[in-house]
Amino acid sequence: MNILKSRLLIKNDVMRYKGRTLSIIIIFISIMILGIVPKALYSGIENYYVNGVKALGTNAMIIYTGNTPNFLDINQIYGISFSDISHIDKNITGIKYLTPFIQFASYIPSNNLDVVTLGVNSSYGNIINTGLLNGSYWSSNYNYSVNGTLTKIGSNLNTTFGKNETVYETGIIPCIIGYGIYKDMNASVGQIIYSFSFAPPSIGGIMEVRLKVAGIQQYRNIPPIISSFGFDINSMITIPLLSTVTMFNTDYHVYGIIASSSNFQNSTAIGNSIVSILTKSHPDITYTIMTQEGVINTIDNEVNASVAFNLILNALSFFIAALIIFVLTIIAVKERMKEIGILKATGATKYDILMIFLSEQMLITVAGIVIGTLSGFLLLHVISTSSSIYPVPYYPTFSLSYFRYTDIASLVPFTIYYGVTLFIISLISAFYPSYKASCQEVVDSLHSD
Amino acid sequence: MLIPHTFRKGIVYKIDKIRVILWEDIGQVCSMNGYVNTVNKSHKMLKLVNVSKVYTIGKDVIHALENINVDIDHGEFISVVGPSGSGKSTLLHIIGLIDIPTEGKYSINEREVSTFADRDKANLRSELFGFVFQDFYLFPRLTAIENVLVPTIFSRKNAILNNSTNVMKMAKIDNRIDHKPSELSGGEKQRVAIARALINDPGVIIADEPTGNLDSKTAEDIMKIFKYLNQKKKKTIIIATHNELVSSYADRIIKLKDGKIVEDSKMVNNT
Ligand SMILES: Nc1ncnc2c1ncn2[C@@H]1O[C@H](COP(=O)(O)OP(=O)(O)O)[C@@H](O)[C@H]1O
Ligand SMILES: [Mg+2]
Repeated sequence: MNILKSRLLIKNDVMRYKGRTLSIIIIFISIMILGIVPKALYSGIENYYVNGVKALGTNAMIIYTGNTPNFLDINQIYGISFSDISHIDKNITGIKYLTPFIQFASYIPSNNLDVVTLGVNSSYGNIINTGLLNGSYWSSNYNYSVNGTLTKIGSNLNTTFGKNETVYETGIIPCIIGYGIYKDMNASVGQIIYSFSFAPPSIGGIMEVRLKVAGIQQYRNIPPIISSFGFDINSMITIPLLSTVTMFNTDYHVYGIIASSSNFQNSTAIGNSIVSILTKSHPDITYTIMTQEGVINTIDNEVNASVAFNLILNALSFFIAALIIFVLTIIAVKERMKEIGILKATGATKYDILMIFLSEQMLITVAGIVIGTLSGFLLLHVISTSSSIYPVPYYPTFSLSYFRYTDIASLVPFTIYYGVTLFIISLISAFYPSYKASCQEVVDSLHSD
Repeated sequence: MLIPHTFRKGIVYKIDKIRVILWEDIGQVCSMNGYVNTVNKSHKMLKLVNVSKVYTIGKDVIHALENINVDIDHGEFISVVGPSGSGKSTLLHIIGLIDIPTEGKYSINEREVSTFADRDKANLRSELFGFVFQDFYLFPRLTAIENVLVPTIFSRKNAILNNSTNVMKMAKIDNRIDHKPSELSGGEKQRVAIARALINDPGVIIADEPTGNLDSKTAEDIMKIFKYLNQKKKKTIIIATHNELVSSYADRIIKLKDGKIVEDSKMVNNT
């Protein structure tokens, strides 16, 4: 009998009131998407910035020179990664790695910066991807050579930078390459690798850097793409601090350093010891230390603010949905008053009538929520797939690319909770008009029109 | 077999009072016609005592019914006649439990209706009464047979009685099973409505001007069906009409005027 009942219901009611059914389903779809997609964005941001940093298990810090910039404005910060690693540079102990930034803005006060970039793999969407920086786009397929021959690089230079570029070389510097680069290049310990960048403007031309692979390092606990401060650590090349200074101390200022201590306790001490080293060569510069905790807090705050905003958005859309369903149910019930009368005259109880409306509402609601959930996740899939063409920004601005870092599994409980809430709200808002209708005296329902 | 045992028990438990009526008295009368004689006939099936219905619209007070006293027995064929506005519909609605009197007592098998809960009344509407309206009141989207089946949705005894082809045969509409109301003539629509009224095998059929929208030839066909139901199926029939021809089929005529009974042929015969 239930089959007949649902057939009659669907045929007579749901189908007949297609407009209502459709608009409610569309509302549910939009609300589900409005819930799932922003949530996924926050999850992506959180994962990218906060969890990635936390995954390091270290307390990294940035040491800034001069006025403290907005650390997120990394457009003006370009990096060379180098390693303390104590057998290479004995000056600092207890440090896992160091990443000094070089500030070139003093030479070309625009965004078209000449840059020496080592250790950032552009294919992961890191800083190298912008503007003139393409000139040092070394880590793609052909800009480095494992065997030390320059021929291919030279021809590439001709096409990329023009014919009369002068190539400078820096001499062989020991380096430790990240596991990502190791895999890209298939470079083993002892091999020489090359990298090119613009030379300092005072020299002009192209600078060749020859690096000898002294070791390969892998940060195991880091998800492959997650990085610290926008860097993919596993794709960095690390060179000794002293070599860095030798290379750049004529024209370039060390703008900042990323350091990472192996534990939280000694981070202050390490920060101070780095500052004291830097002070020796750059005595007139003031330094500011920002720890990773600070970074996490900043981004946590940003995400929390967004989540709070999103909660308001959710509540608002729930409220609007409730209102629309309420009104649509009043209209539907009014239109079907006579049918209610017929049904009651043929034996339907108040409860039966109530159940007819509520089960119909339930049907539409479940359909809407299921379709909405599917479209939400489909949309997410599309965004996160297509977002791989966008680089990850270095500061928390809107970017589709964060969707790549969304933890889909973490969305499931949210979606259930969200869908169930919507379901309950939908039934509650349909309840009152349906209940009122079910309470009418049969003859009054029959005679309404 | 009819209804899962626990479910049935649940119903019995919940609406004790009514279940007693349905399964012990009316249940037998209306669902198994062969057992009519087993029913205790010492009391009247339907009894209205001083029933009034008053509508108050602003300052106007309309007495739709005034002090109505009627007894209705099993197997009667009653025609309620009177001019338009005399209260025929109101009376039928009250008898059929789709309206409530403002005053007076209405009892079914000596149990007073005002004490019934909504579910009890719904059960009686489902199983004791079958309604036929002047305007048919069919669901436009449903086919004839689906319309006929609508009351079974709410019936607790449909498992045995769910014989839609049978009732459609009785109403002589079994040749239009899959037609929608819009594809049927007025007479055919009314036959569907009659079949629908019969689907739960009610003891009492209440028809409010069932031929009001039909031509006289069709009206006669419809009345023959009612006659057949009364004589062969032992249904109690109550028809409101202002058509002489229609009332001629009845065994008893109750005449209303301005909400009062001005003539009851049964009373006349008895006195
Ligand atoms: N819902 C109502 N509100 C006010 N007056 C009503 C209502 N229903 C019926 N009436 C009045 O009650 C009287 C009896 O109506 P009714 O029973 O429909 O008469 P009949 O069926 O004999 O034409 C009429 O005067 C009618 O106007
Ligand atoms: Mg009438």
